[in-house]
Amino acid sequence: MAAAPDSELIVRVVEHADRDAFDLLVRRHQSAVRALLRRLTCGDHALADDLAQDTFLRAYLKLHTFRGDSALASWLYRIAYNLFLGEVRRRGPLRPALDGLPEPESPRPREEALLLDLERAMAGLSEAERAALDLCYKKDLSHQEAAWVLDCPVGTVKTHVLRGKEKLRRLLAPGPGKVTP
Amino acid sequence: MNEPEEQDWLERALRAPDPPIPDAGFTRRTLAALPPPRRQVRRRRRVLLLAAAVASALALLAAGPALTDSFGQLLDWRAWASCSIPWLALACIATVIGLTVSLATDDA
Repeated sequence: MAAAPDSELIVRVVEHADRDAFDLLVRRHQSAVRALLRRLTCGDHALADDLAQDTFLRAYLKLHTFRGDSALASWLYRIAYNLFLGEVRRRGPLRPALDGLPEPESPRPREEALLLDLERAMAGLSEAERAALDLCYKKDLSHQEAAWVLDCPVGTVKTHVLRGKEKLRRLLAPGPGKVTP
Repeated sequence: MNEPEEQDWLERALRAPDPPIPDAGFTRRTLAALPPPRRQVRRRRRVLLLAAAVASALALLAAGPALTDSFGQLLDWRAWASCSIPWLALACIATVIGLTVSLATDDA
C-alpha cells in the first residue's frame, strides 16, 4: 500500500475509514505542510506543528469533500494557510521566532549560510508574500495553483512574489555583518 | 555582486528544496488525535437505541391494563375534559416517535 497513489488512499479513507491509509497520507505530506507552516510562523516550530496537526485533522474530517480538482498537497496547503490566518487573526502578527535556525556564528558551508540568511530575511516579509514565495518556489506550484491555495486572484500572487523578492534583495543586500552571496 | 548574478542567486536559493522534516512521532500524534471512526460511533448509538427500546418495551409491559385504559382514554377525546390527560399513552407515543426519529437520523 506504501506505493499507492494519493487518490487510492483517499478512497480507502473515505469509504472504509482506513486509518492505515490516512497514516500513509500524513507521512507522505507532513514534511511539506510543516515546512510551509514553519516558514509562515517565522520559525515557531511548536506553533507550526500544532497548526500542521490541525490541518491533518481537518483534512481527515473533510476528506469526503475533496473532489480531486487540485493535488491533495495543494488542498492541504490551503487548509494550512487558512488555519494560519485564523491564528494570526486570533493572536495578531507573529514575531519572528526562528528557534529552529542555528545561530550564524558557527562556521558552516557558504551555501548553507546563505540559505540561513535567506530564511531569516523571509521573516521580514508579509504573511502573504512568504506564502506566495514558498508555494511558487519551494513547492513549485504555478501562479494559478498558488492563487487557489491563497484564495486570491492570480495577479495578486504575482505581485506578492515580485514584492517579496524585491524585499529579499534589499534585506540580503551587502552591509555590515551580512553574508553576501 | 552585480544584479543579474544576485537575482540568479536569489532564484536558486528560493528554489532550493527544503530538507525533509523527520516525522519524529508527528504522524502517530496526529492519528491519535483523530475522532473515533464513524462506524464505531454508529454502533455505539445503535446499542444505546436498542437498550432504550428494550427498556421502553419492558416498561410498557409492566404497565399492563393501565396502558390499555390510557389508550382507550386517549382515543375517547370526550373523556379528556372530565378526567386527567392520558399521560401514559402520550409518553408511550412520544417514546416511539423519539426512537423512530433517532433511527431515521442514524445514518445522517
